[in-house]
Amino acid sequence: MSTSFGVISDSVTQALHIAINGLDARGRAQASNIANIETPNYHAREVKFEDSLRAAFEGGDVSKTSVSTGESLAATRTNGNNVNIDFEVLASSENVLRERLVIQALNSKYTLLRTAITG
Amino acid sequence: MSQVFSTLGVATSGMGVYKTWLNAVADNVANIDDVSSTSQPAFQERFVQVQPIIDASGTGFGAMVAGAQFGNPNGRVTYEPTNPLADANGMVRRPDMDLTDQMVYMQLAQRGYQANVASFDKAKEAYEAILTIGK
Repeated sequence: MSTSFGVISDSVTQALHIAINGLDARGRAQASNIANIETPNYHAREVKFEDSLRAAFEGGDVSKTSVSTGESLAATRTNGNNVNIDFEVLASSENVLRERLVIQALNSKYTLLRTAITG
Repeated sequence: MSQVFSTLGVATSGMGVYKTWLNAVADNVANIDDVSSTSQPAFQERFVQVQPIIDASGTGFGAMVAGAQFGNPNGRVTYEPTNPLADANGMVRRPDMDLTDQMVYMQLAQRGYQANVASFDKAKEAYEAILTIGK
C-alpha cells in the first residue's frame, strides 16, 4: 500500500488491508505450529501486528505497520517442543472469525463506494 | 503446494508427517511378535524423524519427515527352546519394543493428524471468506 487516493483507498481501507495480511500470516503461523506439535525443539511461532497497526494509524501513516513473527517463550516439554495444541486450535478458530469481521468491514466500505459511484 | 493459498500447504505437510508416523507405528505393531534366529538381526523399531520447514519470513511453513531411524538390531534375546528358529542354546531374538509404547504413539499420531485436518478446514474457511471480498 503506497499512496492513498483519498476516496478509493483511504487510511481505514489501508488499515483493513494490513489487518488481513497480518491475520493471514498469523493463520499460517498457527497452521505451522499445529503441523509441528510433536517436532522436537520446535518453538511455537506467533505473529504480532495489532499494536504496530494502532500506533501507525494514530501516527497518521498506516503503511508504517510492521507484521512481526517471533517465537513463543512458553515453557517447553521434555522434547523441547512448546506448542500448546488446545491454544493453537482455539486461536485458529478465532483467527478465521476475525478475518471474516475484517472482510465484512472491507465489503461495507466497498458497498458504500459503489453506491456513491453508481448514485 | 500452492503459494497463494499457502496455509493449505502447511496443513497438508502436517497431515503427511502424522500419516507417515502412523504408518511407521502400524509397521511396528504388525511386527511386534516377529521372531528371528540369533544369527540374524531382530526386527528394528521404526522411528520417524521430523523437522520443521522454515521459510524466509520466519512464519514457518509446516513440518517434514527428515528421515527414518531404526532401533536396536539385537532385539531381546529370549529363551525359547521349542521354537523352530532357536539356536543351539535355545535362544531366539524378539524385537526390542513394547506394545504399550506403540499404542501411545498411535494415539499421538492420530491426534496430530486430526488436528492438522482441522487446521486445513480452518484455512479453507479463511480463504473462502477472503474470496468474498468485493462481492
